[in-house]
This record gives sequence, C-alpha cells and structure tokens, in this order.
Amino acid sequence: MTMSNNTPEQKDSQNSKQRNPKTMKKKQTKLWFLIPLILFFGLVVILYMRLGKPTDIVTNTALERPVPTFELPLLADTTRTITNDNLPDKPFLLNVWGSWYPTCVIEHPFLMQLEERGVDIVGVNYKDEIGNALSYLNRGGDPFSMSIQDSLGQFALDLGITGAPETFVVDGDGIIRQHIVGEINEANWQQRVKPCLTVLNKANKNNDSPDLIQVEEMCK
Amino acid sequence: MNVTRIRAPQLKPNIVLKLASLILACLLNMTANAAIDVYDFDSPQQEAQYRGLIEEFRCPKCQNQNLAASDAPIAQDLKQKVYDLIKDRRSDAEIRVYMQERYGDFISYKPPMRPSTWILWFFPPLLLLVLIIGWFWQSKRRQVVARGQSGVTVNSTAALTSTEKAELDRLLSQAESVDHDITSLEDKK
Amino acid sequence: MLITELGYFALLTAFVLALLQVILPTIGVIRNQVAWQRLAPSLAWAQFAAMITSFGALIAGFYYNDFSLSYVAQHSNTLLPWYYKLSATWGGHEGSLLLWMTIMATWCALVSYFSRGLPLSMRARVLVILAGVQLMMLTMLIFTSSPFERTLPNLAVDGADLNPVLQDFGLIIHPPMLYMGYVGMVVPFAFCMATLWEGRLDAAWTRWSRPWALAAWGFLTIGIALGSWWAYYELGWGGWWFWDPVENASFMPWLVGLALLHSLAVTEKRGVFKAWTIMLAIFAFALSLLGTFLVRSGVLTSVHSFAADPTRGLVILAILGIIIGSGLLMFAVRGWRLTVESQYQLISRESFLVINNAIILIATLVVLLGTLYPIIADAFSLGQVSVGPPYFNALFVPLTWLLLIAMGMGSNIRWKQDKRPLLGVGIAIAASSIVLAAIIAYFTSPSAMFNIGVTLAVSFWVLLWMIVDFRDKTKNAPNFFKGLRQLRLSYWGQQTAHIGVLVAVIGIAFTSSLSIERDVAMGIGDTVNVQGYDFEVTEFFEIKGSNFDATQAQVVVSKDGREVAKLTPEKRTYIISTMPTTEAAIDPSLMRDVYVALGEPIADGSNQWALRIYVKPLIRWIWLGAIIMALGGLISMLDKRYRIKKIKAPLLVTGSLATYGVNEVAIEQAISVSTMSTLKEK
Repeated sequence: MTMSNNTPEQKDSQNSKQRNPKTMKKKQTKLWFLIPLILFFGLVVILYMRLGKPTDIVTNTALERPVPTFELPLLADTTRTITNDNLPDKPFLLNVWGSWYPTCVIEHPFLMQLEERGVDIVGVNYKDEIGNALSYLNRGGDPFSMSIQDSLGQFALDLGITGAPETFVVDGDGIIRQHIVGEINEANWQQRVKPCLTVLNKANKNNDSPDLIQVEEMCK
Repeated sequence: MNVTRIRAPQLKPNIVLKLASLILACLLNMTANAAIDVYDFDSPQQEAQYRGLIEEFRCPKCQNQNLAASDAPIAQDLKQKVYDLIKDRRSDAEIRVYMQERYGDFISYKPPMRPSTWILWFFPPLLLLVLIIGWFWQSKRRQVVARGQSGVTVNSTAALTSTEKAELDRLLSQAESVDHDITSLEDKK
Repeated sequence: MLITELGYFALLTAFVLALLQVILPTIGVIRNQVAWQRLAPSLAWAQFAAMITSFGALIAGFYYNDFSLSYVAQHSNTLLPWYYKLSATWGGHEGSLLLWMTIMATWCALVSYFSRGLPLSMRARVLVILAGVQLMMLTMLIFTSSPFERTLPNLAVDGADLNPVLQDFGLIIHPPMLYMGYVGMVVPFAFCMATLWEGRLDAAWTRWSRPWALAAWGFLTIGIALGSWWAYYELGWGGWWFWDPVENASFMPWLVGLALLHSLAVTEKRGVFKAWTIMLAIFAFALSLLGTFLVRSGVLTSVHSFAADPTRGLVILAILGIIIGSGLLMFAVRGWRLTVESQYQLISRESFLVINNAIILIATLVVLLGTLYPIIADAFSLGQVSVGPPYFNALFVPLTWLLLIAMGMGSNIRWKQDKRPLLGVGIAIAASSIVLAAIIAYFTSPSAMFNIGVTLAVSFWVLLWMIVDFRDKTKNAPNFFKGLRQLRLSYWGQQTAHIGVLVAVIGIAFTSSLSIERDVAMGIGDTVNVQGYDFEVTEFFEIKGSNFDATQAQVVVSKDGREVAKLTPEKRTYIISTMPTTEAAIDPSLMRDVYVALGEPIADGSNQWALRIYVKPLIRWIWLGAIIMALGGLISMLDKRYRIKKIKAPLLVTGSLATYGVNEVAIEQAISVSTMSTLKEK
C-alpha cells in the first residue's frame, strides 16, 4: 500500500513554509513508536532468562551468623541441658529432624551412611514427642552424635527453617556456612555439602578461620 | 497458655498418607483445606492485630499463600509464634522485626522501602504524574499554536469534484438520518 | 477408542486448515485476487468445525473413561460424577489449551459471520491474522502438549483424580468464560493489525472492532468474577481476591481492555488517538498471552498454576515474542502515520478520556510490576522481597479513587470543547457527596471511616454527575421520559457499566474494611455470638458422597432469637487422592454473607470441632457489580450502529465537516478515501 501521505502532510503542502519543522516532528514521532517494541523485547529477554530457574525463594538469614543461642535438653537424657558450648568445636552438620516428617524418614538411611563415613551430625529433634523420637532412632539407628530436643520449635524457628528436614553446615567457630533445605542425598552431598565441609575442615585443621572467598564459592 | 491446637502432632495418620498429603499440599498448588487454629485473645484489638499479621506474613513453605491460608506445619508454628508475641503485648513493628530476623524481607508481603524497591513504590505514581503533567503542557501548547494559525483545519474541499461533493452530501444526509446521536445534536447547535 | 483418534485427526485437520487460512488469503491480498481472499471465511468455518470435533472427542474420552489417553488417566477417574468428568476436560494443561484454541476457533467463526458487511480486503486480513495466531498455538499444542497422547501399552485401570478443589460447579463455567475473554482480546488485535497492514488511515475499524472488544471484556469480567466467587466459597478461608500471579494475569488484560474500550470510544467518535488505541489493542492481547505464559511456564509461584514446564514456557514465550513482536513492529513502522493533529480543548471529553487511560495504564503497570517483581529482582539481583496484597492495595486503591473522580465528570463533559460554566455544578456536587458520604460512613462504619468515606464520596460524585448528565441529555426532548427513550443503547450501556463499577467498588470497600472473622472451638450445643448473630452447633453427621467421605456439622444461625439459616459446613476426604477439603456453608444475602467453615476435631477429647465463622457485609456487591458491568458491555454491543452495513460506494468528505459532529466515522473513512483518490490522481 502506498499511503505514506496522509492528511497532516497534505496540510504541509498547503503551508509549505511549515514543512521543515513538521518533518522534524514526524521523525521524532517515529522514534516514540519504537518504544513499546523495545520495552517488550526487554521484557521477553528477562522472562527468557528466568525460564527453568527455581521459583521458590530460599530464606537464608541464618547464614554467616553464629548458631543462635539455645538452652535445651538432650534428647537421650532430658535431665541434661545443653547450650552452644556443648556443640563440637570442629565443623559439623546440624540436622533438623522429626519422626513424623516423611522426608526425614527418607533421608534417615543416608544420614546413617554419613555417620559411617565419619561425619559429625548434631540432630535437632523438631517438635516431636520424645517417645516417638526415641523409638524412631531405635528402629532406624542413630546417626547423630547428639540430638537436641526442641519440643517447642523455638530453636528451629531461630534458625529460620521452613520445614524438616533442613541441614546447616557449621564451621569450627560455630558460624553457619551452608543451609540445605530438604533432604540430603548422595547427589547434593557430593555436589554441595562435601566440598563445603572439606574447606571448613581444612581451615579448622590449620587453626585459622576459613578463607571467606573460598567458603562463599564452595558453600553456595 | 490458653491455646488449643488443632493440628497437634499426636494426630498421626500413617506415613504414606502423610507423605501424599504433604507433597500434594504444595505441589498441587491448591488446597482447599482451611487450617483453623482456635486461639483466645485478651481483647478484640489483639485478635485484629493477629489477623492482620498472619494475613501479611507469607508462608515460607507454601510460598504462594499467607500464613492465614497456609496449611504447612511451619505456618502453624509461625502463627503460634505470632500469637505468643501478641499475648506478650508486642507491637506489630516488633513482631515484624522478629520475623524478619529469621526469614528476611521475604516474610512480609509488604515490600520494604529501599533503593531496590523504589521502582515498585515510586515508579507508577511518578509516571502518572509525568504523563498527566506532560500531556497537560502539550495540550496547552497545542492550543496556543492552534490560536496562532486559526483556520488551519483539514481543508481539502477544493480537491473535490462536483460529483464527489454530491456523493458527500448524500452520505452526510444519510448518516444524519441513520445515526441519531443526541450529543451530536447538541454540538450542532 | 476410535473417537479419540478422530479427535486427534480433527486437530491435525484444524492445523492444516489454519495454515491454509493464513496462506491462501494472503496470496489473494498480495495478488489482489478476490477469489482467494474469499476463501478466508470458509476456511475459518471449516477450522471451527474441526476444532469442535476435536474438543468434542476429548470430552467423549472423558465421558467414556478412556484411560488409554494419558491426559484422561491423569485427570479423571470412574468415580467422578459425569458433569465433573466433562469439566475435567479443561482441568489440566493440555485440555485447557485445547479449550483455548477451540474458543479461538469460535471467535474466528463469529468474526467471519458478523464481518460479512466489511470490505473483503479487510475481512480477509482480519481472518488471516486470527488464523496466524491460531496456527502458532496449534503448533504448540500438537508438538508439545497434545491431549491425545496415549498411555499404551500400559493401560491404566482407573484414573488418578481430578484435584478435589476443582470438582466444583465454579470450575465448570469459570475457565470457559475466562478464556472467552482472554482469547477474545485477539479480535480487536486482529482488526488493528489488519488496519495497519492494509494501511488504512481512517477510524472505521474502531467501529468494527468495538463490539468485539466489548464482548471480550464482558466475558473477562464474568470470568474473573466467577473465579473470585469460586475461590471465596471453595477455598474455605473467605478470601475473594489475593493478588496472586494467576489472578493478576487475568486482571491485567481486563484493565487494558477497559482502557481500550474507552480509547476506542474516542477514536470512533472523534478520530483522534488512533495510534494509541492500536497500541492498547496490542497490549491487551499481549497481556492475555503473557497471562498464558505466566500460568504455564512456572516462572512464578502461584496458587493455581498448571504443572510447570520450562519447555512449554519457552514455546509460549516464542509465540508471545513472534505475535506481539511483529504487532509492535508493524506499529512502529506504520503506526506513526495515524497521528493527526487533535482538535480538542482542555476541558473536553477527550481530555478526560486521556486521564482515564493514563490512570488505568498506571494501574496495570502497578499490577504488572508487582507480579513480575520477583523476575525483575532476579534478573538484576535486587534481593528477594515478597510483593503481595499490602503493596497492591496501597497503590491500587488510590488509583481507583482517582479513576472514579475522572469518571464522574468525564462522562458529562462534551466532546471537543465544553464551554458551560461547570465549576459551580462541580463544587456543589463535590460538597454534597462529601457530606453525604461522611454521614453514612459515620453511622455505618466508624471503625473504617476513611476508606469507606472516601469510597462513598467518590461514588456519590459519580452518581450525581450521572444524574446531571441524564438531565442534560434529555433537556431537548418534550419530557424526561421521552428523552430517556431517545438515548442510544451505547449510552445506556456506558451508564450501566459505570453503575456496575460503583456497586463493585462499594462492595469491596465495605467487605475489606468491615468483615468479621472468628475461629472457635465448638461442640454440640455450644453457642457463639458474632456480629449480632448467634451460631449454635446442633449436630454432626457422617456422610458419603460418590467419591468422598465427609463430616458435616449443622449450625443454626439466628439473630435476636429468630432463626436465620441452617448451615451445613463439611470436611471432606476424597477417596482417591486422600486430600482433605473444606466445604464452607454460606448464607448469602445482598447486605451480608454468613460463612461457616469446618476445621478439624480439637484433639483434647472434648468432642469439639474448630469452626471458622465470618460475617462479611456487602460481599455479594462485588460480583453483582461485575455482572452489571458485563451487562453494560452487552447493552453497548447491541447499539445499532455496530451492525455493519455493506459499504456501497467510495465516499468523499472533508475534515472540516467534522466540526458539525454528524457521523465521525463516515467522515474519517471519507478522508482516507479522498486521500487515496488524490494519490491515485497524482
């Protein structure tokens, strides 16, 4: 269609002295019409980059902070109270579990394997009944060097958990370095937890605080 | 504590069922199972405060729901915590800080004001202002221009042949009889 | 089963027909061959028939429990009542896409039917563009998510279940309505694209596409209202709108559709803002497609999205990019030609419609930004925050008030220029509406004076202007009622829709400020008083449904000793999915809803159950308002000027005649024709 001329331009031909500013204005107008297209493609690119990425937000407020202070009974012997001082002074895993969480049940055998491999795991028994918790450990074995009884869930809340199981990697100084939501299995153990723990262990052996850049890289 | 928990842990169906329902709870995305917690409050103000907060806080587990609607165990715990804090006579701000310390900005559905969220809070209102002022200024200018060169309306009558003019008149009269618009009638006067 | 094979075959046929519908008329347009262009309507009809067959076959698959289809096996089972079997057809991703396309084919056929009076070149182009969109969607359906996929050789004996939440009357009608609206936005889009393609400079297309925009918007209104109503009674926590991404996805096209309707009105009447209107039509459809993308690609967490799948997401994004990208490209290349020197004064209807459009677009921007913020924040590493109801309400509510203020005055102001002394009237109306609102708010709702007061004040403002307008419009008639009868249907439609807006807005203000909620533990014989109503639990029953077991409570609601209602809330457990659901019981009425939901037994052995009780004032007004709005759209559509008559001869009119305001479209049309003929002479 050859319709490049239109009414306003006809007007131009009648008032030829106005022609120049008008064409200038036309050019400007043309540019305005490109804006929606550009914005739209910006949006498409952003949406494209997002495709396939996990959408769930993982809240990591406990990271890079010391383990919250607590004063709770030991699961195995509730007359004994343990605090932060009783935690191991070398890197360890802090695992929040409950006998009534199905995913914990799935995770349990792997924790047993980890214990065999010599990994120090401290359990936080989250909102459980002591009878159920103990019989659960009797049945499936006890992978924990000790379990803290958190019957009210306050300690777990201070850790900022979203459910059980969740695991925190704590370094020798008692600082939380990694947070795994959901179960630990062979895959994410090899991929995420083990490298992180190795770095922390190495630093701990040399008796200095871990190299922060390295930690950040390995403990994402 | 004067609380009756409904979803207490001792109500345990067998693990398989629980597993199924837990996975379904978030994966199927839609649950019509309203978890109802019965709490006693000292005053209607406290109850209103509680409702306001559990509606404002987002469930960290079922992330598309607020605490009020969520059925996840952690939501139950957080509701309990909010309740305890309210019983403790903490203010909204204190409770918000408490939650933010543990769950970050994520926990509140109300985005905080800070440079990264300025685009959310200020961009739309400012744009509206710019649009309206810009347009106002433009049409003022246009009016001035129009007054300066009155009579420069579209005027290509000269280009019409007599037959075309006849056709035009026919059309206009036809249009007038068909299209009876009251606003137009007024304009014509 | 044979019938499902037929369905798949019909789907492929529809694909081929859509392909032909794109290619053949296009050749006809390029070569200027009328016969080829004439193929478009017939192909549209054929494609419609094929899609209906295909969709019918899938429904049959559900009805006859054909579990050899994996889609059927996943979303239905033999225990499901027959009507839910049918509605399960669109209970999942594949089937709902098929519904999407069936509706698309329906719109296509409707357009081809009602556009008989249009110039063939236009008609053919519109149908080509519609078919182009359909073709891309069909490609996606067939290659990435065919509902006719077989499970063979592992035939399922019985199906999984339809999500119990979806086993509801609301789901039978909500998706079709919503999709009618969503997809319907393609029609104005196609008209605009066809206009740009043909290079028309007139505004005739606005008159042709306005009824379609009205229809699509009306369906969308009903669809959204149904969704909100369904969430309210089904999800069991009394919420009717949560600003969830999926809700927003349907709300954004609705908002832009609203802006489009108003902009179309100006363009149709005055011939100005043509480019702007085209852009809005593109945006409206873009947001429809964006909604489809957001719901199915899994880029956002949402309460009710389909199973997320990045591959499908990629395909939908590609389709979105191609369709809207080419639309905007066409707009960038040709749209600027449509700009005309506008001829209106500051105090004019045009001005108010500009303000209307600006406010609605900003409101859309608020929803868009809030919905996409997680994605934007992710892309630019801005940190994670949650954007939810507090944000949307904080910005949306003031915008609504502003919009209503503009609406009140704007619908009375005249086109082009209004020289009446309106200031006095305006002040009088403003003062009286503020006083009225303050009085009512003070007596009905001292606890939420501000929200309700302002909402009522702007509502009265609109209402009083409306009355002034009716008087104005009828003052030339012999008497008021004769005058009313002379008013056009489109005018009645406009005022009806505006009333609908007021009803909905008032409902929203009252419900959200004054609802009362109580969670209580009750056993048989217990009574609790909420907001003047006494609730007594009289009995608990165990009942068995066709595919669920339930516990039902009987709650007697009374006020001042007189029984108001007997409510029976239920707690259901579905047999196959073992999902518990809450079936709330509601005593609805125009002024308030009483709502009771049954929780779970209290675990302390006291035989008590948890109950949630709501008293929600004016909540029905929200949906009533939506119905009135849609009705307004329908009335406008019926205006006789949208019935297309055959255009017989080329017309020649001059623009200066437009000042007489006789038949703007005819003039616009004529201007373009005269331009064309002048060109030919050259």
